[in-house]
Amino acid sequence: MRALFAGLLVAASLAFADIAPFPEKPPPAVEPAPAIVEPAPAVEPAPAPAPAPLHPMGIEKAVGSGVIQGGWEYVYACYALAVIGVLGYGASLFVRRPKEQAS
Amino acid sequence: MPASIPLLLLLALAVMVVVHIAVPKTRTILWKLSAALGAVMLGLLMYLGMFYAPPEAFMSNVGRILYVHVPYIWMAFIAFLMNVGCAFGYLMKKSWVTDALAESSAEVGVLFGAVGVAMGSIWARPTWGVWWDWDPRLISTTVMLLSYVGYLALRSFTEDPERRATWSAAVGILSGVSLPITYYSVRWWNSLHQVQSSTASVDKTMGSVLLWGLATLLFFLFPFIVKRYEIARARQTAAMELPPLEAPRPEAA
Repeated sequence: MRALFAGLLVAASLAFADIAPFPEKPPPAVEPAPAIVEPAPAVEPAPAPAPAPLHPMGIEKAVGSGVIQGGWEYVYACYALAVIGVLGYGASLFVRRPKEQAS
Repeated sequence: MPASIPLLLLLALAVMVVVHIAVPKTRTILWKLSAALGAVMLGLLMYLGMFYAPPEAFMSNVGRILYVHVPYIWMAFIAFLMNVGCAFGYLMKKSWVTDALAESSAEVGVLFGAVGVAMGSIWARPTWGVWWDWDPRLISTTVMLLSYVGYLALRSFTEDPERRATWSAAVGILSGVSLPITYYSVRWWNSLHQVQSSTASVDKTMGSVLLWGLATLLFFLFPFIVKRYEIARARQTAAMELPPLEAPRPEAA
């Protein structure tokens, strides 16, 4: 039995090891195509992006430029999920409690 | 908030776990105390994570997701490690206690892992631009979660308690192979996912909030495993009392 488990462990390790990528060969050198010079088309000024929704506590003031703006909806979703996860599982344990505890 | 506060709470929880194991009389109280403290700490975690911690340098406020995503995944790893330990323990010395603990830790680990992966997907949308990517960390985490879902399915499909315990212990050990692969996947392969989060690699305020998240979820992990263990033990007892499926055939004269 132990030999069987050892064999299964080795087989599983080999299966996972197969995920490792093989070293890739470098791509062949490609000669650059001759450059075609065309007049640049007139560029219309892009409309200013809509400002991100501000948080009620004004936390955005601490955020510098060049970083992700806004995104509070994702933060709220994750924190709601964190609460739902523990409360939901707690409720499921209460529903499934053994009969002697329920009575 | 100094990091010593969550560390003290972690110490208190460790004492509670030890007392729960050593003094059977306290077993009806300590899990309730732990769950109640966890609920209060979860409320505080929402405040600390969303308003107290500073915005992350590149991810800004989206980085606040990490204060719940990372502890959730840590809980999954702790629960799965416990499952592997119980599986080895069962194979070395057969015991219904280790079998029930293995079952409870696997289910709790799947819960924390699934919610943690869902949070990671929500976090990936604003940072990577996609909900999901076939990245080494994400693939290995999916394989790890699916292997434990398979473990739980095997347990529910097997009627004979002794066979179920032996087979699931073997599958638990096999599933445990995925733990180091998942953990080190961000270092072994070129991964879009960042390397392991640590309290040592971030600002002190961020580190203390991350520790608070860890302590909060550990206060939930303890009662979850205790109550799920009781369910598993009750099922084992019920299975022992069941009559055999087929009546023994009368021997030919």
